Amino acid sequence: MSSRVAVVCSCRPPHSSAGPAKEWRDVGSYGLSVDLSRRFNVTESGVPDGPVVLMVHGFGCDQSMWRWMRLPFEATYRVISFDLIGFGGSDPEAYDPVKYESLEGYADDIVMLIEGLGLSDVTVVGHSVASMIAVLAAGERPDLIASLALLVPSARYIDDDEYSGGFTLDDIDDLMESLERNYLGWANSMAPVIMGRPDRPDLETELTELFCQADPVIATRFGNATFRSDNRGDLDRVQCPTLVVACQDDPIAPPAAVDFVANHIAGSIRITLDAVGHCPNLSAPEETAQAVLDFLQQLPTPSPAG
Amino acid sequence: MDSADPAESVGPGRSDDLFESAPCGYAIFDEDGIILRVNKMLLTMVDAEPTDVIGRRFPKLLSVGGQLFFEMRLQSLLRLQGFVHEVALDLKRGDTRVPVLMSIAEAAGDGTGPREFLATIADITERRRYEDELREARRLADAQRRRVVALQTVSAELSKAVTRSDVAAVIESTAAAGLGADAITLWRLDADDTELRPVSSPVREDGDDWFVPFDREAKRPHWQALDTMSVVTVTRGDGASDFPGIEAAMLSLGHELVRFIPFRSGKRLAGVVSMGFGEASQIEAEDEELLVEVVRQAAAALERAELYEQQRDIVLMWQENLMSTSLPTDGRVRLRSHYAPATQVFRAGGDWFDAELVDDDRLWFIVGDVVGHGVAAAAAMGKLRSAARALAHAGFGPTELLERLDRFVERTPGTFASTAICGDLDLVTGVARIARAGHPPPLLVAEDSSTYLEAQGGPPLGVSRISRPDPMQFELSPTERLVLFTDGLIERRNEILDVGLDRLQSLLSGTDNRSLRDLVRASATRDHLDDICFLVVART
Repeated sequence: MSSRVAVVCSCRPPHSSAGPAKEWRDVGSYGLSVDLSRRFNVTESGVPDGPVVLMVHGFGCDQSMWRWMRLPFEATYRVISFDLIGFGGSDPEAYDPVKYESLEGYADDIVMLIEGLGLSDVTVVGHSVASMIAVLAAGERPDLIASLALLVPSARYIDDDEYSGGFTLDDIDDLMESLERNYLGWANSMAPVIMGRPDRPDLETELTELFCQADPVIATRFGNATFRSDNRGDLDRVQCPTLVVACQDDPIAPPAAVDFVANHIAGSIRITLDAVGHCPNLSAPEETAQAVLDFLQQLPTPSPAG
Repeated sequence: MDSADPAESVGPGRSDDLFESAPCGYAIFDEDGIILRVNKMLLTMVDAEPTDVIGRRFPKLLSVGGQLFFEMRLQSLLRLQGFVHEVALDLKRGDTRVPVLMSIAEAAGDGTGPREFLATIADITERRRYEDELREARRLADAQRRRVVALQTVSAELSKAVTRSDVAAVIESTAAAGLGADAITLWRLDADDTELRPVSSPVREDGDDWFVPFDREAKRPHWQALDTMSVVTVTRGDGASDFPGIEAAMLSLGHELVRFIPFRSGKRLAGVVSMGFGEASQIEAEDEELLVEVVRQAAAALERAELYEQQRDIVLMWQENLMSTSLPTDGRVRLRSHYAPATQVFRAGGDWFDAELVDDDRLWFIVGDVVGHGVAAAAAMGKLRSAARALAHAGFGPTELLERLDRFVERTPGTFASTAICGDLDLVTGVARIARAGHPPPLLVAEDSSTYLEAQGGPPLGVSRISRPDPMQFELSPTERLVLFTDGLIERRNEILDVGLDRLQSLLSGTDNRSLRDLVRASATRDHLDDICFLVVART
């Protein structure tokens, strides 16, 4: 894990058929397990021998969320992202309604992926609910995960006595109803459209694909697993260095909820970005990436032996 | 973030005019969702002034669930693909909501400024009402389908239940799962109508006394359901005062609601099914009909099981009585017998054996197998056994005895085509004679070998009128044993008979009694489909 060979590539959106194929490296050429790569639609970029940053997307989208944020890491790190089972380009056959009834099922997948790809000393970057998935994985397997970066995390969305998560049960029911009403919006039901993008010449008049596709039933179940879960008790199992990131005016992970996470992970560093809303990885990819990079740089370098 | 000048939203000009007076709501917001401009229709829809909305984030106009949906999904899609189509959400309007359908697309700018998004928002109050009716209809159809599936599953499982505890198991597991109940218990009224007892009592870790039998002194809802022959529902917190102890029991069992559904057996009161539902109960009030139907089916299955168990008890008792006659004791001979009814008790009954000293120096013995099972087979076996014994005492040898039984079975219902092996042994000379009617050959076990005596077979009783061959005759040495058995000892599922015969032959060798004990043990523990019966004859 010493050479620093930069590999030029950016994120591969799922279901890409006509896309900029030449930029993409076949993940198989890294010697990864092809089965796992296919199962999780694994995308890799950056320095093949570099320290590993594993990016895990949250509810509502897929690994496309990292497409702009991964770039700043690629000069130094081996950047790996994937789609949670049931989302994006993951293997639909791999979905198991019992396993994925709770976040633990997804955490097991992170462990499976890290072990299956033969990774060690991994930094897991989790967005939104994926930060709790990362917390569960790190609590379970501290030997595999060296550090965590939790973007806009919340250990519980629903208010509970003294605890303020920001939402009532009715709010969550309201969200579930929105999911149900917009059932079709998840599925691959709309054909790709031609879009002119004068502001982004790199995407000019290309065949725009649809992002963040999911099986609507799975999306609803994941929504339930996300918003009804309570991971407050799992936070103190995290032993590794952890960065906790909040945004401005984020209605989903309000300051009190983010504070709770930071206060219950020993030694964690809490910062607030200038970015507004709940998706800093999309709205302010450079700022978000820089915050994580700064955090990683001040960590002691992991020994080659792991 | 700079917000746009509010005055812009009321500016002059044709396109502004179109924007302002369009029959749907318009909003323009930036990449972070900050509202730059809205039209009159949108302000009317949310009942607000321009200053209330300009500069705020667009999702704030939505219901909380809608905000979550917008932040977690739509925002990402807008940034990644630049548009979303036909999204159904609710706008907030004071304390009420306006159902809307919105499409949002990136505004075509000159490519230099920040990204802006234009949302068109249509009030769909009427359409939503229609949609809600459709969704409700679908929900009802789904619920109906679930009920049918639950009922079918329970019916199918109940049809396989044989004993009362099988019925209780189906009700406690399959029915509970299908109905969304946390726990279901089947209570049976005793013969005197004084006590209710659980058909299979669940073992409870907390050891509470809720599941032990109780009488009318215990003022429980079960009795009320039975006495009124109607469903009694107890909700935690309500009505609990009528029934002492129920509140505590529900609390410890985690039930929010318990239903007590009575059932009859014929015209008599028979019992009650209690069903406990937790907080997240999936069963809705309308499904009481389903619960009652499940109980009706369970009651029918229970009645069937009780009848069956009664019949089984009769068979076993009868069989036991008939077999309990002691074997003759004589210093010149050693006899050993074993009978094990089929493990699936409804297949039990029909195998038999007998042995008697028919004169001072002659031992008579027989092993038989009556076709069929149950009470009828046990009765037939009794008749056949009495006839055989009478014939033996009348002095008929093995072949003559079987030939007379051939006539007997023709007139005696249930005995036709029975098989038997019959023989006698001269206790002075050791000469044995054996005759068979459709029965497996006996095994002659010597010190270092064992042989099936296959000669002189014949058809099952009553099947043929051709005279039977003379008996096989041989001298039984004191170092040998003669083993007579029924096919239950050698038959196994999916196996040809020869394999079983070979296995028995290799198991039984030598005069050591150990192999015989092994045989008894094996026949007692193995899951056998048929009765097992054998008789061992040896000289001392």
